[in-house]
Amino acid sequence: MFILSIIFCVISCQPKELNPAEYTEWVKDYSHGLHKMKTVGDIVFDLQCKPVEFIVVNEQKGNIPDKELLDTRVNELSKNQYYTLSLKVKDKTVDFLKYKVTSEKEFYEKLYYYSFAFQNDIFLEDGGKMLPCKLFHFERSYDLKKSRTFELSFPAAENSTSDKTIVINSKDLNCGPVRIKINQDDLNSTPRIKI
Amino acid sequence: MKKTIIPLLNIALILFGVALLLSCGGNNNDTKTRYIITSKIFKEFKGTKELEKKFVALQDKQKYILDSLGLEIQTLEKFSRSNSGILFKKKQTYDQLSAQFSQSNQEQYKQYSEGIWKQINQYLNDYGKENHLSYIYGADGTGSLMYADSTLNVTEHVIAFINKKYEGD
Repeated sequence: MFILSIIFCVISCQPKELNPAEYTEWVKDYSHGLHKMKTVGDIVFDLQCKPVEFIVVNEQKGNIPDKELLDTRVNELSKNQYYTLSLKVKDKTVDFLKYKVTSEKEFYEKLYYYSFAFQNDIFLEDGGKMLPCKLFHFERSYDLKKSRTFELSFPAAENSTSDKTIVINSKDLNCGPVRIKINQDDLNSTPRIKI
Repeated sequence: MKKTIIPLLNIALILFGVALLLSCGGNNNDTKTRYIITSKIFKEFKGTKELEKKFVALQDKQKYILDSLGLEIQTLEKFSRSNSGILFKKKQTYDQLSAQFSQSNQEQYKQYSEGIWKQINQYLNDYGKENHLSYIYGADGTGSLMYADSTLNVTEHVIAFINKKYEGD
């Protein structure tokens, strides 16, 4: 009975296998810890941690023909770690870039800041190191969305087994350093992709 | 005899249990109101501590700049016989820098602490919601809360909660 319970424990602790579509949904699900939302004052921070497998699945539009392709691409991408950050105002009718903006000049200053300089105000705390944001892309939404999305990438910390915390310390947001933590346990329990 | 004692003991136990439950129900812990010591919350918040560290480092840097300039002025005063133009300029720069540092520090501190309070207020809001509270009063020594039962003081809980939230949980 004891041995059986140990076997059961070992089996249940193994990350499960999901097909690409289910895997994507799993990663996006807020309850699994890789997608987090935090509100400070009027601003809502939405952070999606993107394991490299998740990126490959999206690149291939959910259709992974063979394991070799997956492994090769995963290997290429794993020098960095990837996140998507969305910022929006709690009041869904307000455009993030127009929030508390009183003139056209202010709007363009804000647009310039979020297009370029915002990158310098984002860090990743990983393994006791403060990693700078290496790749930054401000997604153009053509005002179709009230929120704004940023694609972020940080260098992968070597042999890091600690939690990862995104730190956003922006003067424009004026809410002090905002931290969003992704637990290593949640990363470890990410399912494998079934091919 | 034994047969009558056992049911009686059972009834006594049940009654004791009910009494215990009722006494707990009447306890202040059921009240949906709590209070916190606001100044302690601000002081113990990790964001505030980080901010203070940052400011100490900044002020040290500024002090270093002003001290070097001050030393230069002292040396010039000692060795130059008359009130030379260089000395006057140095003194002017010293005064200007000193005023500039003090003003920018004040402005920056105000802006940063605004941000810190924004976060504290948000986390207090989260604390209230998660603990199903109706009110959290802030006792700040200004007379807004004159008396409260100390069992309703959740300052320490709140400090632990908001610091955890600050760290990104």
